[in-house]
Amino acid sequence: MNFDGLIEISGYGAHVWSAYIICLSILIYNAISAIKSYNTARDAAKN
Amino acid sequence: MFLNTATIILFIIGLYWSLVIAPADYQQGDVYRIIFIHVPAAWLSMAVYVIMAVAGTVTLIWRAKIAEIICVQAAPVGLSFTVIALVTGMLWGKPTWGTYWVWDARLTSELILLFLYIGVVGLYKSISDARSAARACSILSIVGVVNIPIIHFSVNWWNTLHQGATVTKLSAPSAHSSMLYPLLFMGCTFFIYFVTILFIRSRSDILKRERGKQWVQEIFNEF
Repeated sequence: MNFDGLIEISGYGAHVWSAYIICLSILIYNAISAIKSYNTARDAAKN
Repeated sequence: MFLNTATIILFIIGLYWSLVIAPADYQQGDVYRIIFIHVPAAWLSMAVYVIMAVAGTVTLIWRAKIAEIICVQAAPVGLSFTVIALVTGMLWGKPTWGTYWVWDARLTSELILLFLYIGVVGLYKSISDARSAARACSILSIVGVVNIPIIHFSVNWWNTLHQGATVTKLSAPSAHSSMLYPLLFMGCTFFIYFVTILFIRSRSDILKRERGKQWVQEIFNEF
C-alpha cells in the first residue's frame, strides 16, 4: 500500500475506526488474559 | 502454537481485505466496512451460545467433564463477541440510521443474549464448586438457547429497522462477491479465533481442576 492508500483509509471516519479499534482491543484483551491464565495454571500445576 | 499463528495471519489478511481491498459501497461509502467485524461477531455470538447449549446437554446427560469445561469456558468468549456485535452495530447505526439504538426485535433479542452470557459467566463465578457451577451454567445455557432462533428470525417475524438476511438467504446472497468474500473470510477468522481461545481457556481450566494429579505431573516431566 502506498502513501495515497494510507491517506484514503485514514479518511474512513471516526465510526469505522472506533469500531475496529474497540473490536481488536476486546479480541486482543481476551487472548492475552487467556494466555496469562494458562501460564498461571501451568506454573501452579508444575509446582 | 499453530492455531495461534494461523489466527494472527488470518486476521492480518482479513483486515487488509476489509479495509483496503474491498471497494466502498455506492450508498453507504466506507461506513459499511464495519459489517466485516459486526456480522462475524454477531454470527459467533449466536454460534457460541448454541455450542454452549450442546455442551450443556452433554454435561447434564453424560456428566462429561470436557463438556462442562467447554460450556463454561466458551461463555466469556461468546460474551466478547456479543459486546463487539452490539457496539459495532451501534457505531454503524448512527451514520446509517441516524441513531445508535432502537428497541427493535433484532437489537433487543441480541441484548437479551448479552444478559444471558453475563448470567452464565456470573453464575459460574458465584458457585465455588466447579462441577456444580458447570451444571447450573448448563441449565441456563439450555434454557437460553431459545433466544437464538428469535434473534435469527426476528427480522422476518417482526417489522424491524435492522435489515433482513443478506448472506444466509435461501436464494443467492444479495451482497456482491467483492464484499461477500471478505465477509465470509472474516467469519472463518473469527471462528478460528474462537477455537484458539477456547483451547487455551480449556487447557487452563483442566490444569486448575486436575492440579496435583499424577497424569498432569507425568506430562510436565516428559517435557
